[in-house]
Amino acid sequence: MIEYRNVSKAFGDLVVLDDVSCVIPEGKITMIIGPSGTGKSIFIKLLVGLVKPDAGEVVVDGEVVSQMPSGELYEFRKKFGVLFQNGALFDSMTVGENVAFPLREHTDLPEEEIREIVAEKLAAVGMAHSDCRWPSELSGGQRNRVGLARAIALEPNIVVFDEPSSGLDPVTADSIDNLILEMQRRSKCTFIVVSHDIESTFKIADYIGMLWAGKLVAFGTKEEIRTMDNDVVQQFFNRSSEGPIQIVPPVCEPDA
Amino acid sequence: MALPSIQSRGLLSFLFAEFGRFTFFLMESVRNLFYRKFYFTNFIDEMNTIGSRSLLVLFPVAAFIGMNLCVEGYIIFKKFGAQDLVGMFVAVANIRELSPMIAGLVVGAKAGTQMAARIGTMRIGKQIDALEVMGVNPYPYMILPRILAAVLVLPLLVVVTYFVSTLSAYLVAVFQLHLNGSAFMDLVFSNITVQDMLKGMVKGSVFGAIVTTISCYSGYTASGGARGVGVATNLAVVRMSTAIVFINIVLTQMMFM
Repeated sequence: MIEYRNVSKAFGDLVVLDDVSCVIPEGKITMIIGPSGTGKSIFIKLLVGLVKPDAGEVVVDGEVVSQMPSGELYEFRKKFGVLFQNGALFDSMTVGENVAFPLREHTDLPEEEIREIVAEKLAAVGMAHSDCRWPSELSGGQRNRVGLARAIALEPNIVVFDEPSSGLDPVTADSIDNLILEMQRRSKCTFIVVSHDIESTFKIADYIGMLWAGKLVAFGTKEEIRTMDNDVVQQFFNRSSEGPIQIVPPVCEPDA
Repeated sequence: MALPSIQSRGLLSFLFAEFGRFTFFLMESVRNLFYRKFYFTNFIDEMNTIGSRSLLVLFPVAAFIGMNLCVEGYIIFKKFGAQDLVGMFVAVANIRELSPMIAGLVVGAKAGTQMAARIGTMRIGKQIDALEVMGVNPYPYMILPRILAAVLVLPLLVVVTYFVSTLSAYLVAVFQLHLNGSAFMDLVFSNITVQDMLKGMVKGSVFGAIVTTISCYSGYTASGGARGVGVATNLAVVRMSTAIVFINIVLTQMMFM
């Protein structure tokens, strides 16, 4: 189970998350949405221990992430598969080597078996027979697909997506949504997707959390959020520039 | 593990924060020397990269330095009618001082900048974050193999520099300045001991550690897109060349005084 308990995070004077609490349901797709620069990526980084909260704690399966020593944290992260924006593929490795990387790092499987798993994962994301290609030869959508294949290579319990359809054309974005939906339904794992894509949210989400001005202003099932009488939520869903949400400066992250 | 961020804009605070970040980076690197896994393939790759990338540049630079040293020494010693002693000057200046520094600076310019740019690009493209969330510690995976490779390869490059620069100085002494070749070499060998050469190689190792640590640190802390990678590479060159020249003074005082 994943639980955020009164989590706050600021960079200098900029408060990114302010007393955020929620429980991410197991075996479901939870979308974390919100305008750009409201700390959605920090929400993920806190979960995998890339950033420590200033106050509060993130608890995963009973373990407080921020209290783990460095060595334990690396072990703990094997529970996760993370798809970063644009895939974050290692550009010095081929597609096949990228997908094989976590398997070679964390298992003692023979090369033959690793190659089979790589082929299977690439086929599952619609990228069969592309293992010899280089990341620089792929389109944005293809990079995300390969990133997803790499994220699920170790069959993690929790899969996290950071803006998986950002910058993609509508058709490719929809194919990524279908892929996420299909994989979750098949694996029954916990999927957390950070996005600001409304169509995608309503298509794949079981639960939705909305971040705005550092606060988690809404959290509930898709139906609850869709019909929620909340100005912030309604402005966001109506894609309106008029309302409480105003353009905010981008979040200053520690290493990005 | 993410490094602490710089949150203050004041120059003094910035310098303190930068020093703190570098110390943290250094400590993490040292701590991970004893990590459960050693990435031997990465280590061999880095040795190859550092050696092969630097060697082609090192040959002409070492040759030109040797030639220049011989000519300058000749001009000075001739004023005292002691131009035959130029071999002694070449030996001491070259073996004790210039060869390790040249090797360090060339490795910094060729391999160090590449490291800073490559690691910086990985940082900007979230590849380092990806490594970390896949449960792979970036220090033993990509930082330590580079540092250890440079520590081992640099002394060998220093030996190459000894050979090339001394040979080029000899050729200038004999064919341009018409000095006695065997007298020149006698002076070189009588003024340099094996211990001096080993100390120069130790200097090379230290410079290797400095060059790679600074390059990796500059890339690792890069931020702000393509511009950030450019800044990181630029900073790496400035920091490492300043550090090499400064540390050389310290090492010379410690080793030869």
